Amino acid sequence: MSDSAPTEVSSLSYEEARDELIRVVTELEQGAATLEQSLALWERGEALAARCEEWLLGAKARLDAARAASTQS
Amino acid sequence: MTDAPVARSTGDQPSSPDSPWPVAVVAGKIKGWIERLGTVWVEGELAQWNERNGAVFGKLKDLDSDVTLSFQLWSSTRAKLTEQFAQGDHVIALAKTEFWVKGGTLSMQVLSMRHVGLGDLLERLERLRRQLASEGLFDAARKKPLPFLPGCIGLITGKDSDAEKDVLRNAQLRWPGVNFRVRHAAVQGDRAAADVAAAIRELDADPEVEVIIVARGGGDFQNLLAFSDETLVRTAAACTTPLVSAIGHEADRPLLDEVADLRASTPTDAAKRVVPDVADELARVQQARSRMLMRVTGMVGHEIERIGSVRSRPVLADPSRMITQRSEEVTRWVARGSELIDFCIERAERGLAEVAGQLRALSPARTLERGYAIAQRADGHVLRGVADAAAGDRLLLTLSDGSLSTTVDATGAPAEPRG
Repeated sequence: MSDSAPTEVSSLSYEEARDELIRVVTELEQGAATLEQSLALWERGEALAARCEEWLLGAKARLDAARAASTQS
Repeated sequence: MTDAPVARSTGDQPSSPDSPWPVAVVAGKIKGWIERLGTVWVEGELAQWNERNGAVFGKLKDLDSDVTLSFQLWSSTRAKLTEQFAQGDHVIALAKTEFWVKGGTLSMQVLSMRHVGLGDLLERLERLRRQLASEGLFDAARKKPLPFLPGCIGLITGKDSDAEKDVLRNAQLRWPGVNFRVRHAAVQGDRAAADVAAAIRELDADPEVEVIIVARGGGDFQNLLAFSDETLVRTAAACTTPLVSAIGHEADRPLLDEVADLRASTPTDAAKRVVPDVADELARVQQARSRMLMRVTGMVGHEIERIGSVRSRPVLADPSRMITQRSEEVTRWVARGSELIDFCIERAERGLAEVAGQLRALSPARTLERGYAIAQRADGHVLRGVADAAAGDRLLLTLSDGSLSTTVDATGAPAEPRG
């Protein structure tokens, strides 16, 4: 992971957030980082996962709404 | 019977058993009589039409009775004929009757031939078809596409005809909102061609009409002749609005079919071709929509699963492990430290006790307890042998529980050291 300030999670697209999340998890699983780095990674991972879920739930809600509208018509 | 040959007659005299006519004479006479007929126009049906090397050998049958004549048509004559012939055609022919003396056969040499009646009409039609085709009026490139959903459909048909009902009913079944402009016209008889042509011009001029259907129920060839009329066909070809011909017919297609932008087999077929089935179209849209939704739902579902699986990986699902792992490690090291310390202390204690025991074992006090005494001179020197003291010396005797002051009375000889 680069040491430069991480991008604000809310500005990432779904795919960017997802791919970074996978990188973070892999890095955490390798377990090479210090505790402090691990904690920072984990916080980043949480934020990324939350962003992904927010995206997906929003998409699902929109789909459900579209479906509801189409069955009404 | 006489053996002598009779004198050969030349046919000048009447024949008799005594003076028979030779075959050549008889044949020559027949030929003469037959050829006296000259050339005649003959009408009949072609009972046989065999082409061989450009020439035609055929049979012409009487229209009413079972009478047949053979004819032939030389290739040079045939090339001059403008019409096409086939068995069954009703024809008139200009023929010269001939008698072939060599084979004794009668034949007619056809000098000219043409169709009669219906055949004639068909031929004229065929000529017109060729003419219009050569002008390019039938070209596929001229065909205009039909509008998908016509705003207004122009319908030209007979008043109160089945064709009209068929078109209207089928179109409305498919699309209730369909809009028609019906123009009635005579569809058979002398006025038909002009009437239909006028209707086409009228509807073509109407800007609202987006497609024109010319419909007529089935009919035989004669009834449908109007739809092959040159003026009508040319009017249809010039029509700028897409035109659909819906003339029910059996064998021969009217020429209107050829110039129309679309040829429907029946009025019902025309309605189906011109008006889309709204229910069908809606179903297709619905299908596209549900496929789209399914696809997107699938994608989102797949991603949800993917994020879920990442989320459930231990590093994210149980972040406290990060801490507990390390705290366990610390605890382990602390325990190990205290264990080590305990061990060191214990070992030191054990060593100490051992040394103390040793010390105690080496102490003179234990020897004194067993009854020994330490003798010391006044200068503190410990006596180790009799020679170390002299009579009169003052000695200090140390016992286990205290000391005594004594005086040496006498000294003995040293004892023999034991082996």
